[in-house]
Amino acid sequence: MANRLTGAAAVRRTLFYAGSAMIAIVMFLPFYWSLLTAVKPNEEIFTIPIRWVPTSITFEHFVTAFTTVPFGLYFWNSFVLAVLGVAFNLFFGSLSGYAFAKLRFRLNQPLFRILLAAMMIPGVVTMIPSVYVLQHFPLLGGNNLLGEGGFGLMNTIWGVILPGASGSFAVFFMRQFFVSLPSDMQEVARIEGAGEFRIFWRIYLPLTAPALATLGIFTFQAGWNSFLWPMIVLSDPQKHTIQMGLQAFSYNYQTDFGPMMAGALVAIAPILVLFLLLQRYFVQGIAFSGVKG
Amino acid sequence: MSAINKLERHQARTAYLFIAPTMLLFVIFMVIPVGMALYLSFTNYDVLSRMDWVGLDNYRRLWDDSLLWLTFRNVLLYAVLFVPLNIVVSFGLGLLVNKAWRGIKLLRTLYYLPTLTSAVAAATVWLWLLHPEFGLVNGVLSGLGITGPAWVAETETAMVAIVLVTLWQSVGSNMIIYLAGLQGVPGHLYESARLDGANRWDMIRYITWPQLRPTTFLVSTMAIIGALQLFDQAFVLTQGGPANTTKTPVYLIYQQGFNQLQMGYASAQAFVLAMAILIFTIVNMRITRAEESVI
Amino acid sequence: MKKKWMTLTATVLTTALLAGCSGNSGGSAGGNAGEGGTNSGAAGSGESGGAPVELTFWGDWGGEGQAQFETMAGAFNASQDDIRVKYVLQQDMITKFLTSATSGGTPDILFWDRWRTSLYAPKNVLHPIDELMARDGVERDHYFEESLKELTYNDQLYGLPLTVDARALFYNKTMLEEAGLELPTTWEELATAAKALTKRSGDRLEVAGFSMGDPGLFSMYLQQAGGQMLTADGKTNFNNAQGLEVLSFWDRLMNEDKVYKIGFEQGLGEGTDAFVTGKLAMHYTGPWMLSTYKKYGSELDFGIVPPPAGPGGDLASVMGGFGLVIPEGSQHKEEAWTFIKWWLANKDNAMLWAETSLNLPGYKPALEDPFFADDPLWQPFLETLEFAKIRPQHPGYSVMEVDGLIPNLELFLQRKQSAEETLAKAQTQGDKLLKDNEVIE
Repeated sequence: MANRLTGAAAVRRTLFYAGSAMIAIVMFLPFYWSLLTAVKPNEEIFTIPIRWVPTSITFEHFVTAFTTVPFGLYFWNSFVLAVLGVAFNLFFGSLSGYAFAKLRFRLNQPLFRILLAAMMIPGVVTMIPSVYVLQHFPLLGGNNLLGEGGFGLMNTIWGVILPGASGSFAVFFMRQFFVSLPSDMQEVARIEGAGEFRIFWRIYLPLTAPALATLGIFTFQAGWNSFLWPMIVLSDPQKHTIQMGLQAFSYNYQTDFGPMMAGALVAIAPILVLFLLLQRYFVQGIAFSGVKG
Repeated sequence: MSAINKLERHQARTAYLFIAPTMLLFVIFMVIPVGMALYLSFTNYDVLSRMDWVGLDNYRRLWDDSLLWLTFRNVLLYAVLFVPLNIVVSFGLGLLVNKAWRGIKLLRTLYYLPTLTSAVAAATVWLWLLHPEFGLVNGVLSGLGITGPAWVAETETAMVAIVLVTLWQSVGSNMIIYLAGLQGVPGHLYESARLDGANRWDMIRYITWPQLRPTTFLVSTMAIIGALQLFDQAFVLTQGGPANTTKTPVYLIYQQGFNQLQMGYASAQAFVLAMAILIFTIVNMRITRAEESVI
Repeated sequence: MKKKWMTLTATVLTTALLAGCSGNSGGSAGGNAGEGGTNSGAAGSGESGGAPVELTFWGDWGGEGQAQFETMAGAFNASQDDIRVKYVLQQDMITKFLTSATSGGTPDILFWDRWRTSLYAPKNVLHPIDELMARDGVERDHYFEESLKELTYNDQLYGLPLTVDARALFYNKTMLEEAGLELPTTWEELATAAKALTKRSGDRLEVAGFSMGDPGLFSMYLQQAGGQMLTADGKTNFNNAQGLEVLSFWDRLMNEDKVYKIGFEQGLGEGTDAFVTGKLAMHYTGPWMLSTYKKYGSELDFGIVPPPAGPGGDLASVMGGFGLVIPEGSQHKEEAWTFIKWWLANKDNAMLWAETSLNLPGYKPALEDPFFADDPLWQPFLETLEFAKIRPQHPGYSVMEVDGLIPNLELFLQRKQSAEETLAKAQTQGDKLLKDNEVIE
């Protein structure tokens, strides 16, 4: 392959790799530091200038991290929350995103704009009202029809999942991708007698595979990294999440850098794996291979 | 005629069915809490003991709140720098890695890595890179004969440093959005352009960029919201200093509501911020011509 | 391939929904488990033979801090049969406390940053303990009066001090010896030492003699200069001769002697501490840094002295620390008090806590133990605590400092504002913040 490249193309390729590598170093450096800190002995963590090549490697921080925090349990809890978040958001998000992008109905624009506008209100002030809503959810968690008497959805994973199950971002995101797809396939399919759900599910949704993959990574990451809301909702230590566990290394104005970085590294592994797996959907032309065929 | 009407009605029914779960969740978990917060903004709610109606008192108090307006100025400056740069850089990166060359997956992963890097690690390394005496950035500058500033500590440069670090943090995910968008640009458009003798730049300018208008609207809207609601990414770097230059409205709202127990007033501040974001977004809609159809 | 993915999504979704239904019914059955301390158990005290009363103790220390609290709860549980205390980590405790205040899920004991008392006590969410103290003969003399004052509002006491701390001057022994310097005891000596310890190569600062990185220390300097931060009627009180004295001292250190440079420790903080790495010779910090320095600074030889006296000979440092309080919403106040008394009004238990956590305990008799009194690193803090004063008790005080005073001090340190202008502006802005955040009756 390479020896068949013409001179100009070879130069372009070299330039590309040189430039990309420069950017990559900047992007990678802080991550590399966290990697180093996780395997450095304590005495070497604080040095000026930062020592980029460790003189000795230790795994004691990983041991500390795993023995201080029940990582297995927290991993599983976070995994459940993140996967459910992804499933709900991909399904509901694409369903409504499609409706807002491709179907005509009178309230289309106003409702979509209200969804957008809601994202502009800072979450800090809706937090306490949201807890109130969860607490007083009728007929659940020991509540009566008026939402009194029990704990509603508090301390359940549904209290974490449902408020974000069809996030405005997911709807917005999917709508923008459906908008850029041509509408004529819809007409053709209708003439052929396909039902609306079938048109969405069989024709349009497969075309948004790269978008779904992207949204999947984002929602997984958001669910996996969310800290404040799960902490507020979930009181039972058995339901705690990985991000709550990672807070364990700071206390009394001190930070245990080694175990903290070791824990953080382990915690991002699933996202990294997911990212690598979903890259297969970023192959140019995949979207339209279906149309042409 | 009636057949078309019937089709339209059927389409509308389907649409309402499709958006029903979303709207239901939205009403329960968004509209109700926002409504409650709006009500609270007319009270002296302190979370613990009081919730009396005070009319427009909170909104009147906003006028005199010079610190709040200062934080507004801070995030406006931030947004003006951050939003366009964010779009340009992530679009550029998206184009750069939209290839099937060897090693491209590794590059994409590396570019995405900042969004996964622990905030503490990011802050530590960036603060070190930007250190006035021992930092790499000023090292390079002094090689060029320039005395670099104390980036995060001086009033003139602190916000620039925050723009830099938050860009570093966020371009990875926007690059992926653009990358996903690029997969949807029909290949035949490029082919016919090539036949017309268009060069690479023309194709980006006249095909790729316009085709990605919906994606750009998405990226820019989210960037505006994120910029005006900036909080913790800035806080880990500068804690709002020096001299209040990097304090942000959400920092104040949090402090007022949760630390000072004036949730009523904090809610009023939050709604004013939401209005500002809304105005910015509408302006952005005009600029990106978001409502025009692409195809 | 695509199809498989879609099927997978659909399957996961269905499973999720099914699990959701069963999860909810399960949730309603056990809905109040772990929801706080207000579950089963009679409120009455002194019952014997029955099931022990379960107490929930909230704190925001995780990791080793959590282990330390659990050691104490375990020792208490082992000491008697009527009460069981359980420590629950709340990573963001204040947010959690506020969100659960609306839902009734209040703990029985709260780990408490004492300065918050002036904010929370007026809201009637903390339980006063004066009667309990008097009934059980717990003596006030066993605590630093200042630390009790910080837990007091309107003449009512709301908890007992768990730890006490104050800032003192940490110095790098090696550097001080190399320069042949005596330990500084006055501002004058401090300035001399700082200048001598500073190392520059050309314009470049290699080693800072003394840290000027935290303008929040203004309140300490002001008291050393004989001033007070607030007047008796809750207004700022630093736009005066004492305030100017502090600023001219700072100006001398920063701009004449050039012992420091703006932003020098930013980037040498967090993961790369300037003092540990020998880039900083002296700075003010508290006893909480002792374990960090011991852990990361194997080559660091350091000592500590009480803060040097101001020009008029005034000694000052700011006292802080934590306490334990009982929320008004607790159903088991009597049992909670029993636990607090066991921990904070008993020398053996206070010592157990001190040795477990390496904090200075709030209970004075424990501080007389050789563990502290004979240790050269603890001893300077004991000395400092004798004259240290708490922050003024105004619910707007910390906002006034952070949003009003410090920003102006930063402008001054960067030579963007004169001393007079700095103090005048800080006064105007600070007074407004104090007024906006004062207690509303």
